[in-house]
Amino acid sequence: MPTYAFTLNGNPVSVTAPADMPLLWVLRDQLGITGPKYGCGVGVCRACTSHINGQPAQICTVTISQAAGKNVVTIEGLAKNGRLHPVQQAWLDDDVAQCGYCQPGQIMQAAAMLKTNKTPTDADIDGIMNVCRCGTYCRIRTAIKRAAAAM
Amino acid sequence: MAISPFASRETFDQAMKAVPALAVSWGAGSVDGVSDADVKAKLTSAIAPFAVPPLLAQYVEGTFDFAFVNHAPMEVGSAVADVHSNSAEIWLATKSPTGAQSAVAGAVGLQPAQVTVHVVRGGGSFGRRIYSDPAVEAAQVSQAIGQPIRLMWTRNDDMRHGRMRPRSHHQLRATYSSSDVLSYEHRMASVAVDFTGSGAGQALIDAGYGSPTVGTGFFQLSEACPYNFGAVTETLSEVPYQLPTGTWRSVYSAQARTAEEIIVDELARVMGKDPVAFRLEFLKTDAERAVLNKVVSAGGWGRPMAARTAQGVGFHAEYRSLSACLVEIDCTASTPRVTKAVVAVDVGLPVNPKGLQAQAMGSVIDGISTILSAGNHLDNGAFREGSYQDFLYARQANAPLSCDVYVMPATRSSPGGAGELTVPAAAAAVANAYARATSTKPRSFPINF
Repeated sequence: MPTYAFTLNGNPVSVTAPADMPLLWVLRDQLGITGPKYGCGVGVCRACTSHINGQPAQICTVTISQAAGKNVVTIEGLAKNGRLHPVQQAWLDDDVAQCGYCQPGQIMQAAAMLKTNKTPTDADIDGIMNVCRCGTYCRIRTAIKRAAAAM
Repeated sequence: MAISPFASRETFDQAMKAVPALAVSWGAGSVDGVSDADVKAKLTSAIAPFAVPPLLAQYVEGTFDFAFVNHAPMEVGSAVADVHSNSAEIWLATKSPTGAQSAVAGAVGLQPAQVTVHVVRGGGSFGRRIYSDPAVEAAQVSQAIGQPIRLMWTRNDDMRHGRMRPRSHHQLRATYSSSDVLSYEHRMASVAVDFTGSGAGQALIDAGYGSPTVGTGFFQLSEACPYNFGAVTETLSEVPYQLPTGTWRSVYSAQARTAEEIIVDELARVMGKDPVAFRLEFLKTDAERAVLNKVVSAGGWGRPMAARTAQGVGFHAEYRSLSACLVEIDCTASTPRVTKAVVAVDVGLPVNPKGLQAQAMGSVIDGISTILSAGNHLDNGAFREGSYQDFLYARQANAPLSCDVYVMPATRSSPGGAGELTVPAAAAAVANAYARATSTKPRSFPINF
């Protein structure tokens, strides 16, 4: 089996895995990084959303061979120097999470959006496709606006 | 004992890719050839007749259908099992540890005391994790191969072979005079809910509510018309199918009370009254009127609305608690959007107001989803929807832009229930707002299905 090297949350890692194994399972089952969640396996629920080279990606549909050489950031790598990312802090301040299962993906999606869009409108926030089965959408909207203001 | 075919590997990806390599010849399914229309026909024929003949009074009536709805928990069915000859250990996110213990013991030939269940954190399941089927499967596989097993269902398996809120059919009729509602009858027929997952079924039987069945006992306990509607009768007929059914957040109430609240709006219309004024007149207690008045004032009931947009209200009382919901809906586009929601809840003693508000907010999203878009088709013996791409649970673009939840002050020293309290009120408010915005009488849910 081939070996692939990439950067994970700032650290170089290498794994031996089949070329077509989705990054989600490399992270969860081989590296023990369980922040990204399985919800569908086909990129439609977005519970696995993480960043690849700074862009949001559904890593259940990205193979390890595609991720080789890239910079991968999961929810575990979002806080910097012991400080929560403003989106994470806003999530705590607004008590967004209910069961929490989709929240790593929701936070990573929101953080990616705020990198390029400092003042997201309601229409921009409506574009977030991540499913939350607990229905925390209204507090997600509030928290994104709070994070945008804080940034 | 027959063991289902399984694939065992180190990673979930390898296990999924190994499944097609299994040589399996499948037998007949439990509902081969059955489709939604067949189930609806059977439910319709199982409905009990009305007691009051409509001949002597004016009346409104309606026939309603609600589709199957998967629990669709984000976290699929999962469990870890380690089964030995005289003991078993299970790691499971469960709402019923003793139910899981009994189910696993029965499946692998052990006594319940020989099974240790470690309860772990799990994703929200909305009634799904009362049932322990993934733990039973994991235990059977572990026993068969003599190794510990970490089991996860795929989303497709969870959606098509997981549990469903059963399809239901409702016939309602209310007779009225110039100023009074004289009688109200509700006949519900539902594919039977499986109550075997928890100890709740036995508890109902022990308490004397298990007659004639656990389902009908539960129905009589949980469904009560909150209005002064004269002679009221509500009955449930259960139609058994060999389908995986389950208690979905609020069990019968989201369907039964939505149908009822739609008829309430239609009664108000024919009696020439505003839907809110009508409810305030026919509700029984000041506390009930207070939660409705709260959403009416906070939500600006009656404000002018543009064409194909409207407000709607719903009310529900259960679990020693009260909930009222007001929504505004925009039906100008092909996909209706609930743009605003206001909820008031009276749970007797609020303990964690922020968590209580969160439960109501989530219930609003359940109401929006199940009334407008989320359901499962049964086609020729199999469920059609396989994931969130075709099972249309609300996403951010379907959620209200604002959702304000008002918690009424404490009135006693013990709290009522709150987790599923607002699902029926919200579902009803969405249906009534849709009816008013589109000048239609919605009868089949979800509306866009």
